[in-house]
Amino acid sequence: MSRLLWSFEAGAMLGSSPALGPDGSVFVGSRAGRLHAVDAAGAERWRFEAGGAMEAGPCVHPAGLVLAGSYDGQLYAIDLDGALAWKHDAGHPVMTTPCVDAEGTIWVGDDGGTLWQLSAQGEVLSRRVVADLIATSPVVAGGTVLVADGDLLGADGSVVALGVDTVVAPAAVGADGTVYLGSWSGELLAVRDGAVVWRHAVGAQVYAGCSVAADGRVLVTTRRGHVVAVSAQGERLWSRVLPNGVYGTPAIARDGLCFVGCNDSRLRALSLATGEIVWKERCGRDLRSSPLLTPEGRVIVSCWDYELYCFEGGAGGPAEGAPWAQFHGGPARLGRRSP
Amino acid sequence: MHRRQFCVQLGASAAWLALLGVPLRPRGAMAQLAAPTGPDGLPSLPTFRGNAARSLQGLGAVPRSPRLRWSFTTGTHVETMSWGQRTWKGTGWSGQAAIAGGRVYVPGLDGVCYCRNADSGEPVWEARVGDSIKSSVCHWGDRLLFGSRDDNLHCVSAVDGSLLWSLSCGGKDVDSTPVAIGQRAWFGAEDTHVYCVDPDGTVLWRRPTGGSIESSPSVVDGRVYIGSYDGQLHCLGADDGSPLWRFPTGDDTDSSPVVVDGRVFVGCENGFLYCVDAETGARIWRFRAAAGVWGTPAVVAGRVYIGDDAGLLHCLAASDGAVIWRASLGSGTWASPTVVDGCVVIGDWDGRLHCLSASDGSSIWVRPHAGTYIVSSACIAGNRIYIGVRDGTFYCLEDGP
Repeated sequence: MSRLLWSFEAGAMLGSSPALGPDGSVFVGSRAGRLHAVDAAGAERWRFEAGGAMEAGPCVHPAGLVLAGSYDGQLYAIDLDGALAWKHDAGHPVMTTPCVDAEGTIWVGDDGGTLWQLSAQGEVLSRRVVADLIATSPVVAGGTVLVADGDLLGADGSVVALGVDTVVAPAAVGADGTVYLGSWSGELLAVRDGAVVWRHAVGAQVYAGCSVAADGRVLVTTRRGHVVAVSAQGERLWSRVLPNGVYGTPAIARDGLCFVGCNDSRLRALSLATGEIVWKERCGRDLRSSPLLTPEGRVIVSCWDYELYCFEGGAGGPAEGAPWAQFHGGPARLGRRSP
Repeated sequence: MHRRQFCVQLGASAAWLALLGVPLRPRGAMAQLAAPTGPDGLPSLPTFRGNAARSLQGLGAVPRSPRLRWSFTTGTHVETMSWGQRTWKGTGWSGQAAIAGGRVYVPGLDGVCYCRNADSGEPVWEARVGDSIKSSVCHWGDRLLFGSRDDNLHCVSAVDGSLLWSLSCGGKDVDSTPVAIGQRAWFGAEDTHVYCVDPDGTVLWRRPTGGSIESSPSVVDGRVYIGSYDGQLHCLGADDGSPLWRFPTGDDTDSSPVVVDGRVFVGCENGFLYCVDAETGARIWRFRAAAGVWGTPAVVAGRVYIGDDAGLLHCLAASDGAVIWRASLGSGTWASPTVVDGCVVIGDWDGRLHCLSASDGSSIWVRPHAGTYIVSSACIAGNRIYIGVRDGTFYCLEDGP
């Protein structure tokens, strides 16, 4: 049902999620500050050296730019052949994945708390300090851009009080615009029209973003290894506990499977309907980020053992009609709902 | 309390063997911690990070041209795993030696606590327990406390190394280093509990957190501060363990809270460093390093120093967390920076021991240890550096010509 197609050795710890380019290339950043482009057969096409660690996954702009932040305070825009198109000096580390709205405008946060709006050419369109530090990757939702940090903070200055301990996970957006996110107090929250419409206790602290299936069900994972499916109305559908905890967002495939990377170094395929484990594959160390699911149904995961692994998943590509099938909304990691 | 006798390895003198059978009695009043020198006038760094606030890293001068004064090699402990064998030697995390009364006490991953003459390195005694000692050593009057992977907190005589008592801690490792004040000592354990014990090993109270504890507690003004796998910084009453507040850190917190001027500084595996009000638990500022933080910050003269797993050493303003300087070590670190005499001393995953200027981060010297790594924190006292390396060697370095 599953098999390893290739693995790529990056020479440094991989703790962030890979992204997919239009030509099938996979982009991944490493703790050593290298952005690697790997082709569909697992061979390195090029690499780009930044001045600091790349702890957040890149996103791939429709204009053919790989956008990746670094601890050196720069957002790099690199073309698909590995040449630097431009860079934006944020003045503070960029440790989260940018998002790109429907007009192609880029939004990126830095550790000085500024949310920047940039054109695809790298010009600053606006900037706003929304917190002391941008803790989670920004996402496009409801005509604005949101970051989660205890409360839900908008680029337009809006604040939705969540009434939770703290939030370390980015938001996901459902088909009707409902925003879903998990909290350190162990709740999944649904926010609509500026208010929390329901909360669902998931059993432990949530570290990663959710994914949203075509039927509206939300998948959320916890640090204790829970994978929980909750309906759009906030009712529990199923729950399963995997060993050692989950720090990544599940990826939902076309054929009723979802893929979850675990801290016990295994990638698992679960039934989306029941949560039953269909297969598992072993990697060398913790999988601390989110699997990338390609249109061909390949599952690509970053591992702490310095390797990028590509498995044939035994399923199709991302589920059709799923508004938020994987980390940051889709394989290009644009941080917005799939149309 | 569970008492257990271990096979104790003999040192040169056999005289103390007789002590093993001697019934235990509480000794007189224990020396208060935090004195930079003991009653004998000799330098004293009795526990991990020197005092009950975990805020004292070293005493005296830092050698500017370090040379070897003495060294010794620990034994080896072999652990059989499902996939093969794992060898433990040298010192581990946090693995800081304690110094008091002209002696240095070294926690060995081979399961032996070594007592050596601090000046000459001559062996004084050795105390063997059932498994690796990952924690640092806490010197408590006439005795020593340390945790072990044999799931016990051990108390041995500082005089001769005889085992006084062992406290079994829920069948899990004890990697947290105790802190002692007066007649009480506090530590955490991987069984999720914070413990308070008296000098006899009687548990006065224990309080669970939501996860395994590897953080070493600080105790200031009647409050215990400690991190946990549950992603919270806990503040408990030191007298009875009553919960006072907790602060969400967002991930496993193995770093030890440092308390300075009413503020608590603590790092987290998710790369954040927090400054929290010691009274209320309210966040004052936060800072994100380039990768996870396993070390304990050094807070000295209004500055905070911390290393991260991506190999950056950060110097921040204690007031607001603003970056003053940043230096690259070249590889990640889990060790805690020792800041004294205008220097920062810290080891890394490539086995280098670095000395940098505390004022601007410029390198003063680098001492390589090829083919191994350093996760232990340095003990600096009496113008010497005491540091263990994972290849099995423990070094005393002094200033050269």
